[in-house]
Amino acid sequence: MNSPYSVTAPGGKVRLLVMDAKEGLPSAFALLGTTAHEKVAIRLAGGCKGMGPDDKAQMMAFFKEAFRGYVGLVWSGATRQTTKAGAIDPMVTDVPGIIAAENQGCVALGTVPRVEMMTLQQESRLVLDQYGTFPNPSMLGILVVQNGADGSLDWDGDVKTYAALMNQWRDCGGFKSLGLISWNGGVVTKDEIIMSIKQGWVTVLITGTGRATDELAAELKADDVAFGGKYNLPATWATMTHVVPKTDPSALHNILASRGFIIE
Amino acid sequence: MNDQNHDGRVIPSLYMQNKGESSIRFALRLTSAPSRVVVRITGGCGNMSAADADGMYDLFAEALKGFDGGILFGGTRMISKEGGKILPSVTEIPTRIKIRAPDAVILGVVPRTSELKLVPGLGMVVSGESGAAYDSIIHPNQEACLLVQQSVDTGVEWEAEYRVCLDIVKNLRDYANWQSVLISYNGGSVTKKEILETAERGWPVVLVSGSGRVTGELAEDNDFLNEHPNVLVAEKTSESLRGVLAKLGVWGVSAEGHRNTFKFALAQGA
Repeated sequence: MNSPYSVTAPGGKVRLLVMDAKEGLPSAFALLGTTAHEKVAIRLAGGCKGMGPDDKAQMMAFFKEAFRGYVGLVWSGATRQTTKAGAIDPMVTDVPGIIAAENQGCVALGTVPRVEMMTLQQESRLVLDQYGTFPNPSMLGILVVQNGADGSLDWDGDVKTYAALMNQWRDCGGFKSLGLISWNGGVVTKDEIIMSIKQGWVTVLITGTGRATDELAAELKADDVAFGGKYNLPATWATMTHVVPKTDPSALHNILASRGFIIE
Repeated sequence: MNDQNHDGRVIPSLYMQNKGESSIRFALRLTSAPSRVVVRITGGCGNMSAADADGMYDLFAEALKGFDGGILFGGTRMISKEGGKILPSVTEIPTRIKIRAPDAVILGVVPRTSELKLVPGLGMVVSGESGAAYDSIIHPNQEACLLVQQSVDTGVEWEAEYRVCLDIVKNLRDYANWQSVLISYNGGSVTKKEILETAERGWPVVLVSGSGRVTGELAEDNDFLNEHPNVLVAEKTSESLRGVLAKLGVWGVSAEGHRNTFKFALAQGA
């Protein structure tokens, strides 16, 4: 069995690019995204707070099934964490690598804000913060977004960057469909969901996963008109937004197929 | 992605780039082409008659018929100051190719060597000193054009064009699994630099023999060709050029039916 630190990305290496948040977007990273077989991109947002090992195993199984046949770009935050026993502690950020490994032609990428000074520990292992979070080694490329060499960012410091990249892929790179899928998550995830809807991306909330995703889904279900007004959403938002229970991966698969993300 | 004129022609987008920067939008525009192959066309038209130029246009248009990758070129058009005629130039080739290769994505790179001027009836003039016989304008028939400058107040030399093209091609090859071909026709000292730098990198180069000047000389330089097996020579006919491009795999289709496969046949001894 691989160690959590084993690089499983294609070619045995993860390409790391560092950019300042105020700089222009990096061409090299944008080009990596175009290597996906189909020009479609899905961002996974969320977290795993409050989830037990069984929940996490179910999350992996859910996405594996829902993304069967997906050969586009899938990306998320770019971190990985371990359990106290030293095994992988599965998070949403492990999902893109799993999907890419299951579907030849699919490309997994990630972004991460530099929230502290990065360090090299033990056998020259790159560590992102004081809690031992490290870059996810299952991704083809990771974009580290920093606030200058001396500054630091919060954990939402990469959101504007990934949103801009998504739109550039669509506007200039010929990407046909963009989407965001949320699972659990906190305040940052909530903002990402609303941003995605406002951008006109296909937005899917997976319910039963907890916290921000469930809260927004409940608000939406209770009164969709009030929901649109509260978050100042464009008139067409409802046509681009879906709610899927975590027990029904087929429903997500069907949405992905009907929206052009999966060609069947 | 592009707006169109009232007559249906594409209106080029114009991007400005300072030297040392890279443009994500420009790079992505190329990747909107169906095939992951970029053809860079370089050279010049020294000592060339109008009849020779017509032959050159036909040669390229026929050789690249049906091509659906990206094309990088100089991005300018030369207009004579007397009579306002379009002068023969390598930079007219992509327009002719586009007629027979409508899915190709054509992008130009233009160094800003002097102040830009908007001239009624001409468009954006990038160079046209008072003593010169012609004005160079931004070519109107391209999807997008990248203007390269040192900074707002400082221009660059003409050779910045090929250096920027080398950077773009390198990014496409390194990060996006693209392949590339440099096709050279005629040309002078700057063309020679581009051929040599591309050859040294091991990237495919096609020299059109008999096209004159630097390209013609190198096409007959056996020492150079022997040292650089990635440099091929095509005769000055569309059949020969198309054949060499086919040998390089420009028209390759993978077993899976994916269009985006350019096989560098030379590396495999083909």
